Amino acid sequence: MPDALILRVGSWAHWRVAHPRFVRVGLGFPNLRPDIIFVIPSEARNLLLLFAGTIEFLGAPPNAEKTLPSPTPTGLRFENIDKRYGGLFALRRVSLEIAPGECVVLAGRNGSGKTTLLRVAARIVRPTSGKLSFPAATADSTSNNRPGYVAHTTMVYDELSAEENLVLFARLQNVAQPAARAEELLREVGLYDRRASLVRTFSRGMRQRIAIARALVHRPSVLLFDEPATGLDPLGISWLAKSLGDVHRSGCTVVMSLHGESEISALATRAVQLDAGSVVADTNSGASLHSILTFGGA
Amino acid sequence: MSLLSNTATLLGKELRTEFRSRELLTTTVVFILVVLILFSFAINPTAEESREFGPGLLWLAILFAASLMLQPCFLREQSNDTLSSLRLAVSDPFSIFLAKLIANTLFLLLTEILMLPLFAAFYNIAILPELHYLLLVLFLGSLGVSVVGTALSAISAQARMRELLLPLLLLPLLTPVLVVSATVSVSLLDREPVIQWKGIGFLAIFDLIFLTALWLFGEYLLEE
Repeated sequence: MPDALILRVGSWAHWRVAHPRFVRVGLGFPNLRPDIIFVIPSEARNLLLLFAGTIEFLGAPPNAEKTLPSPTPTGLRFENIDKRYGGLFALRRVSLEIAPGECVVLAGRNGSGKTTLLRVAARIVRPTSGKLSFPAATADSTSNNRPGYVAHTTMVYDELSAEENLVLFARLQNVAQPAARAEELLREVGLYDRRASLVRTFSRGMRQRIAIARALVHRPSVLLFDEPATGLDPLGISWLAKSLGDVHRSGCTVVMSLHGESEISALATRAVQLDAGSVVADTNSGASLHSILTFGGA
Repeated sequence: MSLLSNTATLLGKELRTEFRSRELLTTTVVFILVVLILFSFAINPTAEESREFGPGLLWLAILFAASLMLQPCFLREQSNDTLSSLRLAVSDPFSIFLAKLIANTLFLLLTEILMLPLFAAFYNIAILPELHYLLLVLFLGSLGVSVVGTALSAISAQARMRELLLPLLLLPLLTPVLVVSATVSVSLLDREPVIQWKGIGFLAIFDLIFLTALWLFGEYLLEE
């Protein structure tokens, strides 16, 4: 193959045709168009790279989303996000920029779109339109942009033990030394003595602890919490506030939905209020934290 | 590589949870056993009739048992929203399907291997002479059932009337597998066994087509 041969690798998304299984590949020479364009399974592109003299990545380079061990602060950017379920708008043109290292509280009445926004941020729900991105603190940052997410449910397996659950999710996310990481987290959340117990035997507070440990297992740079204090007693809430504070101080960007003021809301550096799927108030736009957390009440 | 390592990790989880509870295996084994015994008592077939109809009954029992077994495949991921945590954790959602369909195929095969001696005894059919070919047909048939069933289980788990939806979708789609598997099995268990390579080829192609479709579009089945 001549040195001048250019292999242009772009994702379908780049070419405005969506299918994640294929990449569109262009073969060409400098200043010579049109290229020979063909479509290959994405797994095969590394093979083609062997034959190319020059490579231009038009879309994301291969393996751009590899999990990396240490978190570097990463922000969140929602751009005109819409989410519709049939004719019902769960989110309506939400645009929000969360800076790396912020601790943001999402407030709003039931059905205002907090959970949907968090699930979009966690990439569990695909928005109907709009764009979600994770801008890193620095241009060359290699932070892990797979967020940690704690939902209403534990998101762990009841039939597995606490340790088995954490090792499972650590392995799935290519965490180095999964057993050691699981042990470290079990000690952090105070469940080390119950590591061999099945999760189904846990109390509500213990379940919340294992849920948080699962979300932290891959050392995410963004943590999303959906009403983390639900069902916790005052001791549990104090523990959660301390843990969240530690996580935030370690450089994580934290976004959580809350109802009302509490020990946990005291950690917030910013609050955003949602109503009917839209952002209606933001402390960055002059609203007070207290008024947002009390939905404008006294 | 992450597809394979994630699949292996998830397969380990599927096997561990099942062998710990034995819910699916027990239900499937008991169901197939009951169906075979009931058919045997109800029809009381002669040796010739057994050869002619026995394999069909066996495959019908496998198919009904599979529709029971595949139902909880994705349904039990919903109680704690573990499907979302898996989707967050894996780099390729196909690994979730791959692990589940390998586990389902293994469970089905294990059930079939346990049932074969009983089937031979109840229907007075010699299965040993062509056992290796019979196992090949059982493998290809079970793989087809598992691939289609796993995909439909993902669809039906998010629907209303999910308990009814899976068999309603699954049984018509698997009719070709049932017909071909039963025909090939009848030929294999005949007095003068014949290997129907066309049938075996059909099963392999069926599996390949549905596996490719799942690889291409499976990701969309997991979306909310």
